[in-house]
Amino acid sequence: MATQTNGSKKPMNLKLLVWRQKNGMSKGAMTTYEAKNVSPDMSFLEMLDVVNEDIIKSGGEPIAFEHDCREGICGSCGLMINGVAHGPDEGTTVCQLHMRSFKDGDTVVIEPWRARAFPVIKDLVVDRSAFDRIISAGGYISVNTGQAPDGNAIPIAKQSSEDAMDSAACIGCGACVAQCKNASAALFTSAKIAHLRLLPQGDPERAERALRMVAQMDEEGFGSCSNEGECEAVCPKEIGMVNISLMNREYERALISGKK
Amino acid sequence: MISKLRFNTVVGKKVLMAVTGLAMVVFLIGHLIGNLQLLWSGAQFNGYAHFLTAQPVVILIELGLLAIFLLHIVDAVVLLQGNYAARPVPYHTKKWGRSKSKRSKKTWASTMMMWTGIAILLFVPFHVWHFKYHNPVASARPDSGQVSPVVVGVGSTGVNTSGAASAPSKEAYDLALQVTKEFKNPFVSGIYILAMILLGLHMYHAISSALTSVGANHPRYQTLIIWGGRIFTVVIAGGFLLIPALILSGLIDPAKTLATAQAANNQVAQVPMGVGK
Repeated sequence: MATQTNGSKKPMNLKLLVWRQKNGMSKGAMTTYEAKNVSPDMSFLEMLDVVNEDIIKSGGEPIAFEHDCREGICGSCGLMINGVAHGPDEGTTVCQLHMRSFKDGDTVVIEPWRARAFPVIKDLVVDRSAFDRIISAGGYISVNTGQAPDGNAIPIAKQSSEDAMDSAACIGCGACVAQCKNASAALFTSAKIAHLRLLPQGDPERAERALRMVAQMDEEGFGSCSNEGECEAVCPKEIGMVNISLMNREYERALISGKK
Repeated sequence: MISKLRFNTVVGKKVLMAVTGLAMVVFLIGHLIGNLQLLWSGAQFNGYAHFLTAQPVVILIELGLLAIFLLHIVDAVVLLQGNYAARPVPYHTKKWGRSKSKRSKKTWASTMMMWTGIAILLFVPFHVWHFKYHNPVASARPDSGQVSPVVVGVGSTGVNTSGAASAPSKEAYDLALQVTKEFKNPFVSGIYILAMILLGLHMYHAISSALTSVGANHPRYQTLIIWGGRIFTVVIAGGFLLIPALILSGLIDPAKTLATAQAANNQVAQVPMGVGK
């Protein structure tokens, strides 16, 4: 909810409370920084860039944070800002969050995703390869090798392709896990299961996919889903909780049918 | 690997949680229908109680419910352990995602599921003891061959399920009167009213959550599931709450609806347990 909009162009001064941790082995702590002369037009990551330059100039170690496209589509950036994943703006990633969402004099708390399955590598950077392992456990389809398949050989209903695309919009940023009180990866896993399930190409591995991906999600040490929908609220791609219900349906179906 | 998966995953455990929870909700519907008869009339309620205790299948249902209840609790403990382990380092600052988007369905009810669950766990044994064992309503099975010190039912109507071995007038036990007497105590009524509020809070999140866990949620039905669950919760918890509330406030007195001709039998009901032997 972006209610605190700073309409003026006046530069702001902010107090940052940032999690600093040397590496995965060391113990981290919250450290205070001053962000001076922050333009409201800056993105959140640009603000961090400016703070880092000051830190480097004064001979310190810059704050490590992950980022790549800065267009809100890659899923690399992900920070807990003032206790909410990806900050206060709805349906965006941190890179698309702008400083106009903050007020002069605000204290901004910046933390990495917290989950056993997402160990901190350094400062605000966490290891999300647990997601990659969930994908590789079952997020694939069977395809014929050789020539490129005929474009429209498989008829797909418009609604199905739209629904599949809604689920496939997941960029794997991990905000769902970060926001969930149980650090559950149910929204991520279910979105991946749903996007393949909703298309005919995903049908051959349907039962096996549900069983394998859920098992992998378990093995990574994520929690269980309490159906609160906190994940849906912070998801930059606004993936719905109904995916979780679909995953559970698929899982039950696989269990009952006894298919592998 | 596949052969080992099955129900021992977070999804499997949540499905078990949902199924056991929904089974208890089905029981609550029946329990409420039975209890509301007390508001209709004391005699009606006593008749229903007698009808129930005479069914041999009830003991099977009771054992089944106990198993479901325990499964639900054990499952909850296991899931909670996993959930706590899933985030070993807590956040410095944590706010509800709901502060950002109304797409979140988080409520205080969903946040306090563990606490309301613990409260219900404490309440249920008390409640069963209070109305089933402490006050000796059908403490011995009517058809067990033993001469029960008490029999559920209305004495004046000659209901006696323990056989012809004893005189009905001495064995009759007035459950409606007993419940009314207990609920006129503000302390007892208070416990029940509080427990029903906590049960309502638990169910407020539980119904839609359980339906989502079993996979019944769908974009088309999401609003229906959430609001249907909440309205259903108000009806069930509110229905149970009405009984102590109405009796305590004196708006309804089931004991009065029993015929004054039963006065003699009511005295029998107050005779301490065992005297009837």
